[in-house]
Amino acid sequence: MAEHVLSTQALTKRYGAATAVHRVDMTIEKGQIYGLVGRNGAGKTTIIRMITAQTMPSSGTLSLFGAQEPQVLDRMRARTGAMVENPSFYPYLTAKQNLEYYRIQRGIPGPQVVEAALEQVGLADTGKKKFKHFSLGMKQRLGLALALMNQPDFLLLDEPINGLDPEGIVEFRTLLLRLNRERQTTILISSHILSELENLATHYGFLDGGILVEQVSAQALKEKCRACIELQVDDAAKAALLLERELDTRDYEVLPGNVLRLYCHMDEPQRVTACLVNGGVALFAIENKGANLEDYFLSLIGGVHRV
Amino acid sequence: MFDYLRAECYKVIHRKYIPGFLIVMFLCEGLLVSGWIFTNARGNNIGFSTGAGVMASMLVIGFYCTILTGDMIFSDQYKFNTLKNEVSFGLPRARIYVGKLIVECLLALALCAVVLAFYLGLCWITLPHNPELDGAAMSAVAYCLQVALPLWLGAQAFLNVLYFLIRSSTICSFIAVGIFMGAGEILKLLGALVHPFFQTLYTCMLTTPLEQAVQGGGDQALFLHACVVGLCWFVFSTAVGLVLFQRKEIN
Repeated sequence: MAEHVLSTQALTKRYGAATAVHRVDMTIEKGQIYGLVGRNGAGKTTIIRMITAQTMPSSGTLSLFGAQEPQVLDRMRARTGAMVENPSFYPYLTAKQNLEYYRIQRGIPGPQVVEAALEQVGLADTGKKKFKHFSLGMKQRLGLALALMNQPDFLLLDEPINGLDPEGIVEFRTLLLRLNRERQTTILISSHILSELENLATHYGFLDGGILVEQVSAQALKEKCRACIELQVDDAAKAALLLERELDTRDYEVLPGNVLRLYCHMDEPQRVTACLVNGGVALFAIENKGANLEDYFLSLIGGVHRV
Repeated sequence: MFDYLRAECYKVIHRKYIPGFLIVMFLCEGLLVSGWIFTNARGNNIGFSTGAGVMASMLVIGFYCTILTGDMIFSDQYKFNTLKNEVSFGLPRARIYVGKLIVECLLALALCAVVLAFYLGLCWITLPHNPELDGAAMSAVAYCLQVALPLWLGAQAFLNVLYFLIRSSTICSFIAVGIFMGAGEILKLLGALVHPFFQTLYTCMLTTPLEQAVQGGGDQALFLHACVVGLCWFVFSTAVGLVLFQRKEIN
């Protein structure tokens, strides 16, 4: 059985009368890259903040690497690296001094880890430049360096590519994929840039109004989003036979309610229609389907108006 | 905990705050002593005993310095949002709270030693001596310092709770100045005008034992009273701070 890095049961956070996160049951297994998707205010950051002990859950439980008790949880948090919201450092210290401060504080042995972390994120040559003079992208990189400094087993990243230039985004993606592949680092990443998540995530969690609407693997999502012609007919079995005989294809799927999904002949809808109608099947609807992550997310939460 | 203390020391050493603080203090002390040198050159006879004696009455400044030493260590963590880096790594909040308090107290004691040594050294070098008066002045200073130390530590713990619970360091400073400067006087007035209970409260204020020591206390009872008052402020502030910080939202 795969090791559960994170699991939550009925995790809830209330602020007064408002519920930011409502009974979230979430599971992340070792080696996954879990993309947390949701609108602004959907509860993504609140979940990450509860995992990182910045805020306490109102109810529900949270376990990290199988541990639930508060003191053991704190010890398990030492196996994580986190970048939550904007990276925050002391403005009067340099990148190296900031990381050295946290290295000493966290008891990470060997000052070379600071150099290595800075090298990893491309900040090795910032010299005496103080954090307050860093650009937004440099601040993001330093935040990532801090999160990576202790070689975490579980990396939590909240909107990590904000402020990165295109080159930085590619480097960042490559770095995360390499960590995941080489060190089996489990990653929880929230981002508004869904196309970027599509390039990274192996699993997704969709949040809406503090509720985890769906958890799905990238593979399953790909299946769901695969381009197809969706046909609503009166007799799916007969229609399937006709497709096989007339169009010589088995690349279709029969869904409940006399619905067929045909994954080929995408550019020949007239031929498909003719084949079915001529074969005596009543065709009620025909529609081109297929979506990317963004379309799927929008269809899941019901529209674009608030994204 | 040791790593935490080392890290706080690393941070404070790499700030320009301490050299800046010391330069200002040395300049003020230098100005004061040079004023006496100037008047001595015009026929006055201000000796080391007077210079050292003045220091006893200036020990009250130590209360206000705790605002600065607290700020040097706490370092506007809410403004810069850096506390999240500490709690998210799983550092226990009690360690964060107590760790900062310990380093604040150590720093306050170290700075106090440096500032006082500089002042007394300057007076010793530049002002005329009278062996009898000098000895008496030094024992008065030593006594006042003995009374002041537990009170300063109580004040430092009080400042620590303010810094941890209030997001604005400016508001913390105003509250602290209000407590150190105004609260005692108000309680004294209320004790005289309204009810003797306020007089009892007045004796529990941090500044009261030091005022009495400067006015010529000199007995061990006052020193013990100062220890009890300082300890009570220290323990109560720390307990309140620890309990409230455990549940505080870091954002």
